[in-house]
Amino acid sequence: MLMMEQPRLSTDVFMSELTLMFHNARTHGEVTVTIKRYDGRTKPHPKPRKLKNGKMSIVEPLPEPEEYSCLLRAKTKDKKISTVSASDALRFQLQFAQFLRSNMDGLKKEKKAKKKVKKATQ
Amino acid sequence: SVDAAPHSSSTTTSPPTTSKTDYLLQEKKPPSKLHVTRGRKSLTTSPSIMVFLEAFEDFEKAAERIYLNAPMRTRCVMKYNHSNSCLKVKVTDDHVCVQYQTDSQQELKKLEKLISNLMKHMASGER
Repeated sequence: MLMMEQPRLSTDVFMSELTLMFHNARTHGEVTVTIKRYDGRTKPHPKPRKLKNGKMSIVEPLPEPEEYSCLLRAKTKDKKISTVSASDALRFQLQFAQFLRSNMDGLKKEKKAKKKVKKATQ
Repeated sequence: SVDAAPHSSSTTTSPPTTSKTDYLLQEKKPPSKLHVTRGRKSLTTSPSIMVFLEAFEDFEKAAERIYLNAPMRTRCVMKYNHSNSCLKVKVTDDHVCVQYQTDSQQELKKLEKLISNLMKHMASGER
């Protein structure tokens, strides 16, 4: 499966791209957002491997991460984007929460008046 | 990717038969991993049965439990479909998976709180 390597965006660019994704998906299609914890590693966990002299290589575990951050990915049918939110970026978290509330506005609002109308028509 | 629902071997247990009538006459055994006695809860040990939880409180508790048990492995996936006005949320650590779906604006607020909490915890230094 050919996958283009997408460069990781800054949080601001990510938010604007995400807004665009949600806007384009209003008529049809889905937007998928994934959130995951990230420990900042750039190398995979080393596996013990067999050396030429028959022994297994010594595996030094990766250093304990000092800072954790949040990895965010968004995907639609056409596009994939991702970003990393730093550990002290409270502003971004608030922005993201606000964003979700405002963009996922297609959901039904339950009103008592509507329910009464439903009962009357049934 | 792990997001696609895997077709595990537990969904069909009927052995291959030669004729169609034989297959129809045969007693179909229920798949072994379908926990019928548990109702419609989806807390299975493999992500083969993807059923949505009924109560939000159950989903919330299960999601927190999964995350606290394995914070590095857990991910939260939100799928939003505007034309069907449906939001589906899944929390999984690739062993246990819990899902919730809704079309209500009220539940979105609850979900958004849950997700914000998760994000805060993920970004913090706590193990």
